[in-house]
Formats: sequence, structure tokens, C-alpha cells
Amino acid sequence: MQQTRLQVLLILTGICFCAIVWSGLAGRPDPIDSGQIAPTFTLPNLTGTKVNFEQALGKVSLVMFWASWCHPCMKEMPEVQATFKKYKQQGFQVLAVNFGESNTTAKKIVNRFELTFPVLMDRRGDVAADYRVLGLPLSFFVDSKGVVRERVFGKIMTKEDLDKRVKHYLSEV
Amino acid sequence: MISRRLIIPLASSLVVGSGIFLFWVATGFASCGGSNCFLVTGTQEGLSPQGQFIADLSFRHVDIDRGQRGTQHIDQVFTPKVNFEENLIEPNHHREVATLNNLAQFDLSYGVTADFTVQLAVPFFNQRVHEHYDGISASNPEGTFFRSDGTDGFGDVRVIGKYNLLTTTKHLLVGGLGMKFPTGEYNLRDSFGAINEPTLMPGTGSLDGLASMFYSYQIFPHQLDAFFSGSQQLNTKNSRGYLFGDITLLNAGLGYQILPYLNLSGQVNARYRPHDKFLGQSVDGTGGEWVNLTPGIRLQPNPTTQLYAFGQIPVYQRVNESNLVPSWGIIFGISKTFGLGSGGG
Repeated sequence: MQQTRLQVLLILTGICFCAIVWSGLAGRPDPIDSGQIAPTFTLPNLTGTKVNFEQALGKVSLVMFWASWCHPCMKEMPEVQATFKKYKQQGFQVLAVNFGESNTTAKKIVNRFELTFPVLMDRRGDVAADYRVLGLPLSFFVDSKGVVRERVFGKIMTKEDLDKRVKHYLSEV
Repeated sequence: MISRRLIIPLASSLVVGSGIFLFWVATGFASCGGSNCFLVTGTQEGLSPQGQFIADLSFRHVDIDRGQRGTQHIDQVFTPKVNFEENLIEPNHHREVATLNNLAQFDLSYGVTADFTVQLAVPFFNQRVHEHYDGISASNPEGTFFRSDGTDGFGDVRVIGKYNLLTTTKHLLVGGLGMKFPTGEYNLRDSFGAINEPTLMPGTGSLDGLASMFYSYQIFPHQLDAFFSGSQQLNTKNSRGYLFGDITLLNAGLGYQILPYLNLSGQVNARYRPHDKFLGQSVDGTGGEWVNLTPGIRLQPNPTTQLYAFGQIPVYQRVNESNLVPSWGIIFGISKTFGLGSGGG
């Protein structure tokens, strides 16, 4: 009786694993990628004012997800700030979405890097979930029509990288 | 009592001094009260990143020294002896005083793919210190106190495959299936030369199946998460005809990242186990239900290392017939990830 139970378990084990692996059932949702409409959102900034993503339509936007514990994000911050300063007048917008941290923590980073672009607080990670964030740093270049043009994941973007991309997307507006 | 007091510091030195690392177990409850902490350590339930190892070294201690009949406290606990030589169960054979359980375990998991992890759990030191009165008779109604009938040795190795069923920003669902192999000794002799109680042995002598599920939900990402887990161990009869009761574990808890390097958690752990059976007959005093409250702390001195400690406080315990139940338990350990890349945060 017991041996039978074990045999049944072994067979079920094999079937389950084979079925899962072959069907590609591994539960990772497809990432938001180029060509898709960027999910809209409304989030508070550091002063509590609600900022709607749709306000950014008509501009080239960089939606970047970040957190203070993400070291690559911290390396990227001054580069993003410099690029924002350079292209702001030409219609470039940065929406820096903090992933799950407190205002106090985010403010420290804002002060440290003297950030002037909007920092939005996604305390519960709901917007990150809409953008299917599974790791940081993750950024999306969104065109003036709200379409994702590029998804950059796990790479520290330099000023040159940013410059090249922003110039290109601005030229299309 | 001296050796009892020394065992934790000695084991601590072993664990901390070795600088190696850890994992989890849920070995059997016994007629003599063999048991180890069952809980979610938080370092062992998820998946390893692809191509990376997580090594984990842990030590667990449980004092089983409270007498109960059902849910009621009693002063004297008599348990049966499983007589393998004559293939019979001798009821009310001896009076239990305490069983002190110590387990040192090494765990290694490897991320074969981003979604599939293989985990090896090696309980390399499984010790049960057994205190009881034996030789009870009309001329010696109190019996004779023994502390020499415990066992220690290498336990039963487990191999578990874990698969990512769902990973999103806020949800993680991992399913696991595996086997427990009869690598531990299960034929050790007591001080009378007879085969010792099966529940005191380092191993069960049986090839058993394991199925588990772990779910985690990030309430506030990287700060507050809730988790639920369950597992079922399906046991088979060993070569001596002894069948340990299957083990059902259910856990639920919350983890709070109070500082970047400090995580506090609280969890409720429940375990159910039916009677053990010997040659088809239920063994009195085996099986029951146990519910523990488990506060814990995890320290992360660097991104690849975690130190953790949990205490277990019984809140509800019911035993079949009568037996000893745990009064407290503790687990501590260290886990280390090897080959961590320089990717994202």
C-alpha cells in the first residue's frame, strides 16, 4: 500500500515537472516592451501632490523605477539628472518612480543628487506591478503618444547612452 | 544536566565557527518525542538565481519535556516500546522524562534555470538525548532513571526540486516536489542491546515523498511581506515494518524590513501527524497536532550573507493518547549565496 502511494507520488512528480517545463508555464508575465501602450498611473510626488502619467503625453518620457537599495540606480541618478537638465526645455520628461520606499528615504536621495525631476512614490508597488517590474534598474522610454519605445533592464545608462536615445526620440516628435 | 547545557554553545561554535552554511527539516515526532523546529526561515523556501548556489548551515534545538494527555497537562507520561525482536508493541513500557533534540543541517540549493532550483538538505548531526525511567516493576515501582538511550548520527537526506509557478512584482509562488532518502541509521541499539525506539533514531529507514508550496506577497515591496506555505510528507514503511505517520505542515507569517540589514518576522506554524504504525497496528502516543508562534530575526551584513535566529513558542499542542510535548525550540543559522552577479538591485 505504502509503496503504491510512493510510486503514485513519483509518477505525479514526473508528470507535473514535465508538464510545467514543456508548456513553458513558468509564471513570469511577459514584460512591458517596445510597441506597447505604457500603463497609465497616478502617483503622489514627495509633497503629496498627485501626478498623472497622462500629463507627460506630448513629451518624450523616461519612466524609471528605482530604490535607494539599488546600487546601479544610484549610479544612474546623476546621469539622468544631467540629461534631464539638458533636454528639459526640448520636451524631455523624467518620471522617477520610487519602488516601495518611504518619503524620508526618497527625499535623502533627492537631496543627495540634487534631483529636479519629479519623484513619484509607489509605496505599495502597484504601478511597478503594472509595468511588471521584477528587478531594478528598469526604465522605459515612452514617446509623445504614450507608446513604449524601449525597455532598458539591468543596465546602468551613461550620459552618452541617455543622450543618444533622448535625441533620437525627440527628433521624432 | 551539564552536557544538556553545553550542547547549544558547542553546536553554536560548530555552526558559526565553520563558516559554512544551512537549511530546513521536519523530522518525525516520536513516541519518545523526537522532533525538530518546523518553520519558514526565509532563506530556504524561494528559488536560487540561475547558476548560483545558496549554502545554508543551521542548528536546531528543541526541549520536549512537558507531559500531556490529549491537550491536558499530566505529570507522568508512559509510552509503549516497539519490540522489533518479537514484533510486538509493549504498552506503558517506560515513563518519559524528556527528549532533547539537536539537529545540525547543511543545505545547498542551485538555480538550474531561472525557474527551477534543486535543493539538497543534509542533516549531518541528528541527536536525541533521551531521559526516561525503565525497568518499572512491582519491586521497583519508580523504575530506574536512564539517560544513555539516546542516539546521534547522520540523518535522512532530502532532495527537492522547486519550480517557479508565478513570479510578479508582488507575488511569488513556488512549488516543490522531492524525496527523502533512508541515509540515516535506524537500527541503533539501546543500553539493553535491543533495537531502540524508531522515533529516537537519526533516520527513519524509509523512502518518503515530499510536496510543498510557498507563496509570498509583498505588501510594501522590500519592506513588508506576507507568506504562506504548506508541505506534505508521504511516508513509506521501513524494512522493519514501521511506518511513520505522514507529516502535514502549514505556515503563515509576516516579515518586516526594519533596517536595510535587519528583518523581523513573526509566523504561526502548524503541524499535523497521524499515528505511526507497526505491522499495521497504531503506536500509542505517536502523532498529534502542534501549533507554534515563531518570532525571528534576520541580519544581512552584506548582499550575499544572512544570519538568522528563530524561537518557537508552543501555543496549542494535542497528542494522541499521552506523550511529551515541546516546551520551546530555537533555530539559528547562516546562509550564503555564491557567484552573485553584478546585475540589478
